Amino acid sequence: MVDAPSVEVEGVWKIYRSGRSRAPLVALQDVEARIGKGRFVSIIGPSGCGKSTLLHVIHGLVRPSRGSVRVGGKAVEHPRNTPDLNRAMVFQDAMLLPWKTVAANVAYGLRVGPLARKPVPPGEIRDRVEHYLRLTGLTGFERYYPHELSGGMKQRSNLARALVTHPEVLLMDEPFSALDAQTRELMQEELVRICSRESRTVVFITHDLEEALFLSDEVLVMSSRPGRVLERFESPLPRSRDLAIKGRSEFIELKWHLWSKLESEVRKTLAGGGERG
Amino acid sequence: MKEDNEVVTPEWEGPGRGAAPRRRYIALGTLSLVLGVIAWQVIARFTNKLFFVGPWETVEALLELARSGELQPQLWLSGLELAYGFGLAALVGVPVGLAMAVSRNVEALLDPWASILYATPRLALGPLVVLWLGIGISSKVLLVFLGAVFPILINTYVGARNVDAQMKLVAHAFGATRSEQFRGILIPGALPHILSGCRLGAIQGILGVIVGEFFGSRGGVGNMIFAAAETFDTAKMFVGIAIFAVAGLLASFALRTVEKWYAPWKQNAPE
Repeated sequence: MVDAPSVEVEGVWKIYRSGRSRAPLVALQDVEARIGKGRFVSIIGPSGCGKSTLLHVIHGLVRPSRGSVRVGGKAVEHPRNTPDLNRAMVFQDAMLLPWKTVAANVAYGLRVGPLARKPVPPGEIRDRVEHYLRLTGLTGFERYYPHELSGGMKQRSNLARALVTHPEVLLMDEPFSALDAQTRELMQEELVRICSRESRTVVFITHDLEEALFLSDEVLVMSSRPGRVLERFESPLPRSRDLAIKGRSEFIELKWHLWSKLESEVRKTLAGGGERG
Repeated sequence: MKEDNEVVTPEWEGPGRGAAPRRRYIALGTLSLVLGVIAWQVIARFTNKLFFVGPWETVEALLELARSGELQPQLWLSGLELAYGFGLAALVGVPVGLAMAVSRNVEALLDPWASILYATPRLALGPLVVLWLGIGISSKVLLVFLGAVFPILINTYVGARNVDAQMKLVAHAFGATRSEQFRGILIPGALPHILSGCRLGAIQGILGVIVGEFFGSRGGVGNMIFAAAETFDTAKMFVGIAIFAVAGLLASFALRTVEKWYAPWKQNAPE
């Protein structure tokens, strides 16, 4: 029997009406997606195609103009109004609070919002923070402040902060795009390792084909604006991977296959002047 | 064979700049101060004692004033004026600045006034304030308040407005309530600016003390300077000036230290 999907996006539109003279901007057009429990799904598309908007819609930060979103079978509300907050976000820039230590930043999601109002046994928060600091390789950095960390360390904290809330769905918004190439590759590998242990559903936004292919069970290709899902692509690659797979001919062929799906969309964006980054 | 030349200073660092060790920096600063004091003493030797006194005479006058017990009540009074006025300014400036940052309506109502009054030289109000409130402590407290409140208010407002939108997104994403956002993001995010506002406010407040005491007062260090000028007691004037200079320095140094301690991420130079 197949598990119920973790994330269900049905006929979602997002239309921004800004100003009187300008035409309304259609960011998302009739987006459909069903993401199974425990799956790692990447969403790729040209920049400005609404990938991030879609992620914010799934998280409940942005209300869709039309359509519905369910996570874990429940209609999505703003995180503030979700007593059993079952999703967490990993941001593009680490966005750690500069006045808090790494440990306090990682604990943030348990100290505010709906999860802060759940009774937890004493010491539970500390133990969980400790566990995820260890899992993300941050042990020893608990008392550091974000400005003392490298870019990679910041992103580990960013990831730990999301994982510590035990989300059913982990929403990741191009988390490695600001890192240098070497750090990015190592973080990808690290993420594969962490995900294989945690078996959570992951929705991962990226514009990096190789990254999408390396990480995912499934890739959704989005069109240039207005954003639609053009193609659903099941990865034939084995689940457990290491970086060496990127050099295999099979991997490279798949990458070209994906690029062929995406190319015309990227060209459209370029022709349109690429208004938004 | 050319290996010795392989070590290059990156161009952007420039010669010496940034590479100068901290010890040399402190040594040069100290040397500069010592030279200044010597120059002061030298100038004093060749000028009329009636108009200019040297550092030595100033210190002597200070000790004499302290021994006779004349200085302490003046110092206490000026300190009290500053403390009351500055305390009130912080008590009003910080909450109002935060309210302006949080509420569009409050902002719309108060922004024009804050801008106008911030741009007005408040010291020009000195005679008027003394006329209204008399020569007691209240006129000085009001002048200190008027001097200090706007830098504090404006800096709090701007600081809270400019708290990173990204930080707010983090708070939203984890479902923080409005009050959690206010306490957990807005205030700590704005605090470095609030502290700079207080530093500027303290300096303005000291000016308020001086001006208020010049225009009408029964005592205080400013009053002491004013009275000394009328009797050509130049050394006493120098004492008063030095006291204000030190007060300004101390206030500035103390608040800057707090700023650095609280917001180390604002300076990227690790100690």
